Amino acid sequence: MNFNDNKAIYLQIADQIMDGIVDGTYPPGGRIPSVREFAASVEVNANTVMRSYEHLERDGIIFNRRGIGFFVADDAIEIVSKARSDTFFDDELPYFLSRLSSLGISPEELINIYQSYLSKQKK
Amino acid sequence: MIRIENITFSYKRNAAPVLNDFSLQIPTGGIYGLLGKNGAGKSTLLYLIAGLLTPSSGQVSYNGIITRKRKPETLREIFIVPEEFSLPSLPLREYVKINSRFYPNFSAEDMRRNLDTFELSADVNLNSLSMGQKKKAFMCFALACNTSLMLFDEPTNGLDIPGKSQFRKFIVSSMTDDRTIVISTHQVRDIDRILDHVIITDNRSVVLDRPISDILSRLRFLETDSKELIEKAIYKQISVRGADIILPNDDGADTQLNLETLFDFAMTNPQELQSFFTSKSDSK
Amino acid sequence: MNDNIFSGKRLLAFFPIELICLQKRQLLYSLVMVGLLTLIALITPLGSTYDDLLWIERIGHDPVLDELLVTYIILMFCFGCLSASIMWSEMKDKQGRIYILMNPATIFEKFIVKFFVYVVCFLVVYILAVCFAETVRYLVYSNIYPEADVTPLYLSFSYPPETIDQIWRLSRSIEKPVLFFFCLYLMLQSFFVLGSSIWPSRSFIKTFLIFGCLTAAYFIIGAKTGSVLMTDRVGDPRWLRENSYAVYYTFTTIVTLVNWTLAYFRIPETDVITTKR
Repeated sequence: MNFNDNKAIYLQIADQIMDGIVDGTYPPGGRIPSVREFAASVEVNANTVMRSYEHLERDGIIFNRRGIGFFVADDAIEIVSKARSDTFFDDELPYFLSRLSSLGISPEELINIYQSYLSKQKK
Repeated sequence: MIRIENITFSYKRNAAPVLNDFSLQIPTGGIYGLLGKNGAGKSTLLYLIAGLLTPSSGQVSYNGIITRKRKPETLREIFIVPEEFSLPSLPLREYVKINSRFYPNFSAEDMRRNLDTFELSADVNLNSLSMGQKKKAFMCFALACNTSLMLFDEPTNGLDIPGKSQFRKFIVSSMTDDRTIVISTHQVRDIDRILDHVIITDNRSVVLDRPISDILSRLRFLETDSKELIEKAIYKQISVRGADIILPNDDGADTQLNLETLFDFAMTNPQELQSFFTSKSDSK
Repeated sequence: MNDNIFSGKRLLAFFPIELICLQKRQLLYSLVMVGLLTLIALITPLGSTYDDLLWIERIGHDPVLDELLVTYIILMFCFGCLSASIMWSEMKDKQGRIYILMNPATIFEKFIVKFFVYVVCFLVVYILAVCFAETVRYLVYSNIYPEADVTPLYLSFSYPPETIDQIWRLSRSIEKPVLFFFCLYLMLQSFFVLGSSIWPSRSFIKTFLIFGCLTAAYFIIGAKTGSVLMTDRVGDPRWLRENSYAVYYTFTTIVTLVNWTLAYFRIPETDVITTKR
């Protein structure tokens, strides 16, 4: 795992787990690695990973069964998708839109580009 | 708990002391990084903690017992992995068998697991290993002894890149709440993400002794090319993408610690760094 | 139970550290010893020692034995002191010092183990080496000179004692010289034990030179003052002569014990990096 951002490591770890939930690596109801296991695999202090897990737990994405471990919540995928789209609309999209307008790109151009992108994806 | 109380130490009688009225406390539990410039007496401090050197004044104690007394009950709770060490030409298995008898918490299971992490076999003969492999083998044994205090002096020196990664993995996975690991190094990048706590010294005194979470709550670390931010930085270093900067953390942001930058800041302007940690009332 | 003072288990556990971890060195020294002794055993009778059968008949036993016995005793002193010199030699480098000092046994336990290996076991190994050398000599020379009464040292007692009574009488007769030389041996060796704890590197030479000079100085000064004292008090020389054995044994015992004790107390003073204080 490469920690390249200025973003705090515990948040990047949380992102990685959320990616894993969305792409099926950690299915809903299934167990995720223990704090220590995960910390060893990404070579990060276990307390940092604990913070990530607590963060995800607070958001309802994972929950802890005492003595057994952490599990993915049944509705985790929905929560993660919502959180991601919130982030997109609140943070990423405004920046993108401001770039579009400063470059003078019209809405019609944007629709065409997006449509050709989607049709390429289908192939 | 390691208690270093007002120790003064010098190598030669009339030379300037390497450590002068130096005090530090390291509570039990956690991975501590001990950083200082080359030749700044970091090894000396580790040797003093282990009881291998006698301070000319002051004392060092571990869990209430002065380590210099070298009592067995202390020695079996401390394991030091020096920067260089020699191993006899025995099979690793036999070396472990002979030496593990002195450590009541030694676990053969842990030894096996550690060897797997480092991809070593117990049947090798120690003198057929390269220097880096010897280091790995020794560290496997060191951690399998499960002493409550482990001292590492430049552990990643001599390890290849996979070895450094394996080292991090196995420190992180052997950590427990009643175990203290002190890693002294100048290879900051090799260990910055596994630390709980940072101690920066310039041998005369402690410049910084803080948990990383505390440092991150008071300071922000960024790599940026924004002139505006660079202007406001309390410390900056030119980098590939502009500058590595440190800013005060006024708004509770969560950033990633850049230990190299922090260390350089501590070396160039220690007073200013310390000022961010003394006024507790105005950190939000 | 507070095992900070002593633990028999730890003591026993330290033996393999001394014997196995350092086995290369122990083996090397032992082989050198065996080799040298065998060489000497083979070289000494060279020439015409066994040629003159009449002479051998007149003497009544293997003529080389007297010379060899003296040589073996002298070599025992030399090797014994050398053995004591290497007792603490792993303390000569930083890595060795870290290894020994950090080992969780007490200094006492470590000292006992090393003492046993380098003083007691050494003697056993030396005696075995002598037996080996003698056996080789016997095998070689008894084939070359079948009529000569070539005998290995261990079979050379004039009347091999067969009854308990004979063994007792034999031991009484050799008791005095054996005890005399043994006390001298232990005393000399103890200087090298002390030397090894003070100077772990190149210990033999340093000990030899320094204690040699000290002893020489002692004797020169002592002899001068002694002669001054002796001439003033007429009665004393006779007392000294009459009680010479008691004085000798007391003196050697005290010196030996003092040296061992000093060596024992020197080790905890060692730090991993020598600091000049």
